[in-house]
Amino acid sequence: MRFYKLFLLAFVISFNFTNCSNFSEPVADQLVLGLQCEENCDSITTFKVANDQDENLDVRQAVESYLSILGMKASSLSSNNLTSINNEKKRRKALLAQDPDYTKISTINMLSQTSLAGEICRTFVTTDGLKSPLFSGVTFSQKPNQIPLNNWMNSVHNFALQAWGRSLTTEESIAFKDFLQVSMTEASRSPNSDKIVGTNSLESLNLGIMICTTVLASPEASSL
Amino acid sequence: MWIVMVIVFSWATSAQQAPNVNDALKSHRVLAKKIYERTTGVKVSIKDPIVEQMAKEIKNDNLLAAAKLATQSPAFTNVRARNFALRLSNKSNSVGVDLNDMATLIIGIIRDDEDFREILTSKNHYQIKNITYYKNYLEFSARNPATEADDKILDLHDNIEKINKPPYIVTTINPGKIAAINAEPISQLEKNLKVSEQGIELKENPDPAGVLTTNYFAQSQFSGGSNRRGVEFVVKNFLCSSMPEIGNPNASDAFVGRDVDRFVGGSNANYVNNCKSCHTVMDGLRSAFAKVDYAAFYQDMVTGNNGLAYGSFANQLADARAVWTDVEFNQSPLEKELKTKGASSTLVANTTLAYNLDYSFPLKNTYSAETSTTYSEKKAKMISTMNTNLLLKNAEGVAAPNPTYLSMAQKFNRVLLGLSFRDVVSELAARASLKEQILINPAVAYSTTNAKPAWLAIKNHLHYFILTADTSIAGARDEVANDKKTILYDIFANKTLAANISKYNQICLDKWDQTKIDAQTSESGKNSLRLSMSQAFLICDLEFRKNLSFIGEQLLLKLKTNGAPLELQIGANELLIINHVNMYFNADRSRRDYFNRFLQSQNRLISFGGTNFNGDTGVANKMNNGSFTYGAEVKSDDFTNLASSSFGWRGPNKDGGTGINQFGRMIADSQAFSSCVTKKIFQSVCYKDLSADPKLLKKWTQQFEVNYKIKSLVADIVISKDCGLINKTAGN
Repeated sequence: MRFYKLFLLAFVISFNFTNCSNFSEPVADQLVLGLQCEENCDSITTFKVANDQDENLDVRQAVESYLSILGMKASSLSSNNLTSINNEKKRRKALLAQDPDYTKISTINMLSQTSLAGEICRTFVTTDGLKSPLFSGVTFSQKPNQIPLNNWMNSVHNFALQAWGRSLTTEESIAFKDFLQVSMTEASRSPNSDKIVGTNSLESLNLGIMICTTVLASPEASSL
Repeated sequence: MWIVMVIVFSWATSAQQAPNVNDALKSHRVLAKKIYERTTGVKVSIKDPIVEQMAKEIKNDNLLAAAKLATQSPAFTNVRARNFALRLSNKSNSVGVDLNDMATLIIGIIRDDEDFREILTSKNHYQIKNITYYKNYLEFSARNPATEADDKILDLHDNIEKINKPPYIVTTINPGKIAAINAEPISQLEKNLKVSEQGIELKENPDPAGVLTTNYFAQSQFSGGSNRRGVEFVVKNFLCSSMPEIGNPNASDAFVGRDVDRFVGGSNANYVNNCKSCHTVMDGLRSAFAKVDYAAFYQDMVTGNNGLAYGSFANQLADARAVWTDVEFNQSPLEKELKTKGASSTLVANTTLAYNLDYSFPLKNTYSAETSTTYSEKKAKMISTMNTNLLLKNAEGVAAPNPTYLSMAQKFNRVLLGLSFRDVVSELAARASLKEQILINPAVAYSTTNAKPAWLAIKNHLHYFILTADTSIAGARDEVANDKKTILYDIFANKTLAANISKYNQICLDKWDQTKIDAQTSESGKNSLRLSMSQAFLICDLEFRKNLSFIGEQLLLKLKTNGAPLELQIGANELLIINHVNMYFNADRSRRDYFNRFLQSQNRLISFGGTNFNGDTGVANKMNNGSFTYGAEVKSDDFTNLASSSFGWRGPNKDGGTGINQFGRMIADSQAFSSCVTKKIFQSVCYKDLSADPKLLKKWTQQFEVNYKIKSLVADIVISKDCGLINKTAGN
């Protein structure tokens, strides 16, 4: 139950506080990404986004996209994880976009994208994610509230950069901080707060999954 | 409900927060990421190496090179090309269909950056590697490869392989080999496998034409019908048009087939106004497919589904169809077969008559115009035949000579098969004494105390008829069908249990009531009862799909031990055979499946070859179906293009040609094809419909026609101002 609560929270966060396929704060992008303009800078500024129409992802697109963003390869997945993702794919296939005109999103689309992203994030966090730079500063063997808030926030920033190609806006940062603080408090009260999976804290893994899902399931990462 | 409110709120909030979309993009990587995503249809990490590579090209002001890098990526094959191909493979243009050999070929041609016109003319095919379950093209194409490929989230970019050969087609069935296999003491499944592998000989397609000769296309376009469906599909999916649009009211209708009535409702004007325009063009083109038919060669005997295992399409000179049946009867000539089995001449004549009557009589549920002249005439003829028999029975009574009575009963039985449930009931109601003896107890049938109408009360006596019953009686058909399923599945699951066989056989054996026979004082009376009981016995047998040989033996034993004359024994045996044959040939598909499955459970199913093609011309018989002899007869796969010139026909086959490959060439060379492909690509990359902007469409169509490469087109489009993804406004 605990996981689903957090999952729902991730869903709400993902749709409340991310922009819809729009790029913002380009200067911040440059700084964080280390993409400072080195030469011929004028020409860089001449490219503009003129069309931001969204296209919802069909199930294969969604899976390919989420794996791609997380730097995972399907061929490297264990058979158990592949099966879990496939089961989720099959459940969601008919609920995601299928027809040529699929620019109109529905709540069913959103829920399905979130669910699919959640499954892939679960796979990621419990495998590659444990050592991923995306979670630098997060030691999963510790409980969520033993890890400094700034370290969690750093992960959120990393995910945002990876998936959205930009930093968090001020509004988004504030929202994520609130969300993480609530989650960390809730996790410490949870009956599972002392539960260990392998050598890692269950609640920390859940929070990791939630951060990942929040970013991936956002419209900015789930539409073209 | 609150979740919905949250979502609405979320979107309202995010919409308010959306910044100006024209914010300048100052990061090469951000721009590279956007171009990559639109090109491939896949989201990507800003830190992905390919984004970095593209960013370098953008930095050097080479947007096209950046876009081309994206088209070379596996993601482009796995999503953009795959989705484009899947949409082209079905009429709904949905990406929801399973991966199939038609889409695989299109994906392969895009991946290999070949001339896209090849999709309609290629002499090669593509297969998916690294899925475990296929031995050859036939199996690959018929076994849906989607499940395994999708379950593995297989990288199609690396796992689609080009085969430099046209795909197999099924050409001939080797009767000698099949006979030998049938004679082997092996299980049914082993037999099926052996027949599929050894009894059907595969040859390479002599007239390959890209997707038009893939199994998926054949399955959806050539199964049944008159091969017009393939024309309509091509017009819709590859010319972005429709039959009314391509129709030509001014062209000659010399090619309109024999199944098109030119006096619809008695009026030629109806034909001219409503049929001629489309049929003129469609029938001129459809003969390109004249030598093609599709048949599922192998029925999955576990699930009963057709085409799950093997299937392909056949071509000229092919003995194209394997028919699974219990007895070696073809649909025709029945007479010959009966004689071979030693049937008497009277029996042959009566059976043939009954068979023909029954076979030609349309069931109500397949005949929409119930009040039409044809239907009324046929019905009257059937009733008349029935009445004749009944009068014969009334005139001769129970003392009638056995052979006469036997033939009459046969006719009576067949006539009833062709009638609807209501007709059966009304006829029986008018002849109470007859139905008591032969068929049912009318009092039970018409019991008003039954919760459901008459069918429920009589179904235990009249299963045979109820299966062909009027479907307007709600629930009747399903309920009976359910009964059958239950019994059949039980048989299949426990077919080897002697107790089970006895149990079901006893249901039929109980129809024989020796006490009643003994109570008769005259021999003719005894024989009459023997016959009626054996009739009920046989009907029961047919309905419950019992072990044919066992039942037959039991019936003959009963007749023999109870003093039936030899003549009656022979007649009953023949009747048994006839009923089974008729049941098979008159059955609808679901009943055939039941029958087949029953036979499979007994390891008694065998196959033999038939043909769907004219031996002289090689044209599929279905091309010349129809009774309107003034229509054109298709004698070859020559086709003629009578469509309007607005489609921009070009090339060596612009006016017509011979066979599927030249048909594909005609379509691929047309301006409409280029325009259609361009429009679809533009739509999928830019989300803009170019139909509304003919100038722009023409411009991009010409661009596509420079080399007919999809990758080039996508790369050109995605960075163009027309697409609108990015604007390069120098000096800003």
